[in-house]
Amino acid sequence: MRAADLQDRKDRDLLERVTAGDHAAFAEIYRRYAPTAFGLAVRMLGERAMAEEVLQEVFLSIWRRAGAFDPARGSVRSWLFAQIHHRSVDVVRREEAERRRSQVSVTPAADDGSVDEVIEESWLKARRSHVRNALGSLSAEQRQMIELAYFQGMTQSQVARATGVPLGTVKSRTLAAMRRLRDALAGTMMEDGWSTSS
Amino acid sequence: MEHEQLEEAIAAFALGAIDDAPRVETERALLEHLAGCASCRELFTDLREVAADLALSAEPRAVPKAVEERLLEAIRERRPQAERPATRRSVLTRAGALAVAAAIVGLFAWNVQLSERVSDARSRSKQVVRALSLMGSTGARTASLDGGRGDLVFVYRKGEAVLVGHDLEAPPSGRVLQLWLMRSGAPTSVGVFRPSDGLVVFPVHADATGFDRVAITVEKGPRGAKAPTAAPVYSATITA
Repeated sequence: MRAADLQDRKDRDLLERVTAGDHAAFAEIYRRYAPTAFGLAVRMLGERAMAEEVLQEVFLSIWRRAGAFDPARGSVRSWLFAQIHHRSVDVVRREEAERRRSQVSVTPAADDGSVDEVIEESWLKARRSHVRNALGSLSAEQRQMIELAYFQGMTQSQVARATGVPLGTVKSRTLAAMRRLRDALAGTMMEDGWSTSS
Repeated sequence: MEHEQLEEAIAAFALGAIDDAPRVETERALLEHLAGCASCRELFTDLREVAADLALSAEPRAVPKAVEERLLEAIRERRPQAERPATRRSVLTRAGALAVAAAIVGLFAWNVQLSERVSDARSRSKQVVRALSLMGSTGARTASLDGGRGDLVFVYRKGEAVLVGHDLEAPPSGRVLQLWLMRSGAPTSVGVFRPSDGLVVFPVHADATGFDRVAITVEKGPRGAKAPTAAPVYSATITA
């Protein structure tokens, strides 16, 4: 399915230019993906200052290590978002450990929930709506697994503790949820790649 | 682990949600299994892509202009590192003997470092992720090595390879295991390593295409030998 992803081909070209030190290409990738990346970090971290740090760190590392991207392993955007996610998970878990050490119970500052006016390319909007629909097709129990593991950065044991669901069930439910998402998204890739790209 | 449990581990892995306590065991089991199971390699690749797409479900946010300015300012002064997958492209065929020697020393240093930090699951985990994703990549082939105790698998594609094994016997003190790529019987050293806890995850920055055999001998440490001094303890045929 990735073969049909026209957008990714454009991204790869840009990244190729970034490797050669092309600032304009870097700026283009930044403008295309920073709002999504920032949105993910804010949602995971619950506040903007730390999310800004994660964003800067990851994009700086993309500038420096664009050559490390390997197209055989997935799309440029998945490479980028995975880095944002990993970095945010690190921050979440470090904060959690520090909280435990200091025995202070702090509720993370809630995301203010406000909606920014973000100008996005149409294919990205289309993709976003497909992903949201796919999430919407999960049962509430399945969605909860994804929410806690992916967005809250919990390990599966933490998910089990937080929900009171047995660990074995957490694991099987998560797999079922991911399979369902894959199937729901599989049919939409080509459409996003070919017909709606700007 | 049962097949179903391994699939569950793949889903957890894709979401970054594998538990820390059995992380090493889980990743080891995953590596071993993925080396030999095409359907799980496909699942692994697919679910990683699904996980990345989940980022899109978060509400996009306008990034303060100052962040962009700081970033663009920061990159004005720094060149990207010349670190194409090309560093992996073909160390052996492209560079001279000096570069090969440097690469081998580098690999050795890395592997020692890995052994020392094997308890540090997180840093080790990165190497495992690399190995896992090589297995999940298109065009990767695997060869099981025959020989001594344990299981050893060589996963390779154009430009890069990884040696993964478990339950291996450690060589005697002062000795190392040395990995060779052979072409019509002529050996090229790829690097030396010692299993840690019976486990080895050894990324190989060399192009295995054009070689017909992979072999491992026990050699004198820490650098190994210029040419094999003994019969291989493990070996396998590979195809370009």
